[in-house]
Amino acid sequence: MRGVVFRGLEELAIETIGMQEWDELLETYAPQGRVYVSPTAYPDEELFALAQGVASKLDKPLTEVLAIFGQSLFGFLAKKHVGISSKFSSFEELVVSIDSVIHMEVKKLYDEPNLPSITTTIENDKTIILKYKSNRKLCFCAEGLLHGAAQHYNRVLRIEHPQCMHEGADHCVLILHLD
Amino acid sequence: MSDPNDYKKAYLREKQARDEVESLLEEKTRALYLANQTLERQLEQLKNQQAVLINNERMATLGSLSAGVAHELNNPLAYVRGNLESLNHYLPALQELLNLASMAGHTDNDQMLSTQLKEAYVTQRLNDISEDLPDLINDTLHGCERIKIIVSDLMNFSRSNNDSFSSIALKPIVEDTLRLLSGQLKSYDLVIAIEDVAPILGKDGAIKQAIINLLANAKYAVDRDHKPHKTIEVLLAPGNDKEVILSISDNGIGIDPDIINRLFDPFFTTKPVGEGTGMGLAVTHAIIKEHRGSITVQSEEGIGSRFTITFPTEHIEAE
Ligand code: HEM
Ligand SMILES: Nc1ncnc2c1ncn2[C@@H]1O[C@H](COP(=O)(O)OP(=O)(O)OP(=O)(O)O)[C@@H](O)[C@H]1O
Ligand SMILES: [Mg+2]
Repeated sequence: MRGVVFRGLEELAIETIGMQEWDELLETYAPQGRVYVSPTAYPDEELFALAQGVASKLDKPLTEVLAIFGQSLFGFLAKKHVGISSKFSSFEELVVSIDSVIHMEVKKLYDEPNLPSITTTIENDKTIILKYKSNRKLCFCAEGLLHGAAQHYNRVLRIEHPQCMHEGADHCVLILHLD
Repeated sequence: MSDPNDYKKAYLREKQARDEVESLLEEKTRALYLANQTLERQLEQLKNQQAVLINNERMATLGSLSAGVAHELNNPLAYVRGNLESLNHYLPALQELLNLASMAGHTDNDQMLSTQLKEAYVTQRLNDISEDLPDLINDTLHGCERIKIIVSDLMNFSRSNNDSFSSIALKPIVEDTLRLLSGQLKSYDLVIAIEDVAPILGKDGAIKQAIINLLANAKYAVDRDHKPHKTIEVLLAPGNDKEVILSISDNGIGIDPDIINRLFDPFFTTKPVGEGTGMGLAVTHAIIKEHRGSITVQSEEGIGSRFTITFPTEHIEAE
């Protein structure tokens, strides 16, 4: 996982559990002297361990923390890449462009990034079906990112997750219901 | 700095520094990515253009080859035709002979048949015909064989348009090419030394094209000069154990040292307008490069020129 994602988690952690606690997590789960910089790739396990650490310090289940993390990560990414996020005038427009535009831009910035494959179909003006597939199985994080995006556009979003990779499915199905 | 707020301030300052450096880096990375994409596209375009140019040049070579070959075909065709005319001329005599022969055993007068045969033998000059026939037929067959070879050489050359790399022996390729041009090279002193060499990975048609271009240039160079012997030399020999060497030399006008560096440039020519495109050596160079070989030129004005091609052997390529 790229440093940029760790930096998103770091920002969230410092806001929620504080610098001291975050520092402790780094001591425990990150190699000595680790500094995260955006374009560098770090082991996925390191991110999972840190996120798990944040979850237990907040006394919340990991899935919930990943969701919260995803939500704040969206704001973090959008702020860091104003050029990319300002391309879209609506939530719907952004969601259908995750694979073909947003993550495409990511490929220009980072050498061989580890990105999920995301496809979308617009069911009607209130429903979008999103399929998520990735070896990292970060669907809860994807949910959070989507909530973050909805927030960004002042939309109310409800997500159904009827099929999940964590239950042995080949890919996750997320049904996005907009108000 | 015991106040935790001080730490936080330091952290935030450091964080901002990281942010700034990263956004700088991203800007550059993105620009690099885009520049790289443009370059790749242009490279692709250049490759396509080169392929088109090589193909055009091949068609032009085919055109001028055909003209030469048409001339080549005329020669055997002329004597095949002449021989058939002679045979036609002999036909009445042979028919009379067959007629008489068919009467043998069907007539009471064998004596008369025998006299008629003797007479015919003399008046129809059957003796001469009998002496002539084997040569007439052999020459005709030989002429047809010659025509067949010329046509198949030409077809081989035009067919190998899109040929792909395979293990090839250079000796027969050089020999085929020389045969293809034999008509046009008839009036020159050819010095040919072609050895068996290790196989190379190559395209048969492309290499023929390269040789044709070099021979055409050699011919042009000796024609422009006025030495009593117009010599063109073709050598094929092993280099060291990793390469084979093909050289084509002439004792023609030679090359002005001022232009020798531009020889392989596309469209560089010293021929009068309308006579040459200046693509011959550019294409030859492209072909040799495609084969991971090299081509060099040595020349002295008034003395002659030597073009030397080095091909890596297949063995080396595979490593
Ligand atoms: C709602 C919108 C988005 C969704 C659902 C989404 C989804 C995801 C997910 C789930 C991952 C984790 C990797 C994986 O699952 O295999 C990821 C990685 C990533 N995404 Fe997004 N994303 C969104 C928007 C964005 C935006 C706006 C940006 C930045 C401009 C961005 C940049 C990245 C980067 C840099 C990575 C990490 C790549 C790596 O580690 O090599 N994403 N995305
Ligand atoms: N063997 C040679 N001796 C002297 N000059 C040569 C020889 N080969 C090439 N050159 C010079 O190099 C120039 C470029 O040769 P090249 O084969 O590329 O084009 P060209 O022969 O001029 O035209 P084209 O091959 O299209 O008919 C020639 O015009 C000539 O000046
Ligand atoms: Mg030429």
